Amino acid sequence: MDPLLTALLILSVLLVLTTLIPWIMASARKPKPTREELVSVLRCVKCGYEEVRRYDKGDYVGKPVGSCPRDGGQVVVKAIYVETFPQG
Amino acid sequence: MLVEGANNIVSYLIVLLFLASFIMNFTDIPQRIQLQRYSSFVRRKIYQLEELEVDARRKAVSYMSSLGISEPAKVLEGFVNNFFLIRPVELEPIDIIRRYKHLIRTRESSVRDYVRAVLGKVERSVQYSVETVLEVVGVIRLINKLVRHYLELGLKYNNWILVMQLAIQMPEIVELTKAYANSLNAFTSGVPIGDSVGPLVAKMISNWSEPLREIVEGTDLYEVEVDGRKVYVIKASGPGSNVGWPGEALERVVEEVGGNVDRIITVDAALKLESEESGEVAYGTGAAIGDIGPEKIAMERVASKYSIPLDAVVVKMSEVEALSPLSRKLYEAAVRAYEEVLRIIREKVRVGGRVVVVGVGNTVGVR
Repeated sequence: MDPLLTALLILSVLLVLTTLIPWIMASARKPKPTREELVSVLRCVKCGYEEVRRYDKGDYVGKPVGSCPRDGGQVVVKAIYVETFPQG
Repeated sequence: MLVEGANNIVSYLIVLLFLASFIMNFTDIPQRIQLQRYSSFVRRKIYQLEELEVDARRKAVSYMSSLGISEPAKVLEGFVNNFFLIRPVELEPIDIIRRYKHLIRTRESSVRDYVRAVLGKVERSVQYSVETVLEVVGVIRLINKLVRHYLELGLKYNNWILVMQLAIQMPEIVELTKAYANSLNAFTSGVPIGDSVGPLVAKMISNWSEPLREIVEGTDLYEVEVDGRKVYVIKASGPGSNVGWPGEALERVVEEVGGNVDRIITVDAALKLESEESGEVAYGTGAAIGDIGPEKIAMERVASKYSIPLDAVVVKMSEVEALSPLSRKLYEAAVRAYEEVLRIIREKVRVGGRVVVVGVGNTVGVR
């Protein structure tokens, strides 16, 4: 084969590769799908007993939510945050 | 025959290369092509921004409707293009902080009156949340207007550098706008965001107790004891979206005890550098507060007036994280920041001494 045509062919292949490689790498780097859920951490202000439950509408940090199963102390919402779980 | 054909191709290639080189070096054609490419990229991103704005408006209107506001779309429209703030003259620095403070408070009171007029008598936390929702939609509108402005300016004057710069910044701008749009979910449902770590740490120090009193408008004071040290805790009044006046509150607390305070500790969220990890907790010196000036300077002034050491504990996060609902990673960082504050109190404040802890940031979702 003519060397010039070979060079042109190689050049074309290189051009296509430089366009495709970043795209292939980006799709390989895609993060795994996750599921997010809001949770509320409850804490007894007396003994420090803690429990995590699903967030209820109207929850806020500092909200009194009942009494402690251990010592009857006041239980409040200690924190609310988003928990991430792997999907599937 | 093949050699002859190849020679022809070579001749064509040489002519082509010569022409291409001429076009590339001696005409504006490449720049014009780039201008078209970049402007079409920016336009595509503007569609995304517009979608975000429409979505944000829809959320704001539905939130206000749920509160019983009649004609919420009109209320929103009346807000987004108004209530701007003209910065005071900075050329003359004398009394600039007082002027800044005056203008900021005047604006805040105008916004408050506007919302109060349409909302009627409701809980203050709801009023604060409506104000924030309106502000967020206003910010998204402003971003949209600015992006359009620079694109149209660039196209009008064929300023391809301006359009190119805009195109390069667009992914970051869209990301930030998305964060603002997503923050509406947190503000309307009252869930803490990344920026709430300061008030969250303050609440932890106060052992989730009720505030002693409201020391200045929208800012609460708590009083607790930690291993024999008296701790005054200051944070914005929650659980509505509110940042309060932490500088003025600190000033008042310190003045009330005649400057008899051993240490001041400020806790806030801080923007991380790209190379830093989210949720990193660091401590240093100074007032940890991202304020235009009046609140920060109030803290610095009162600390220097009575020679009180001023510490800063920060939780690092990105701008997007600061506006999004609090993640587990940042919650764990808040717990570490709380332990850091306790360590400073135990190690650097004498038993029987007084310390003020200021939780700076938006207290949405934190009573």
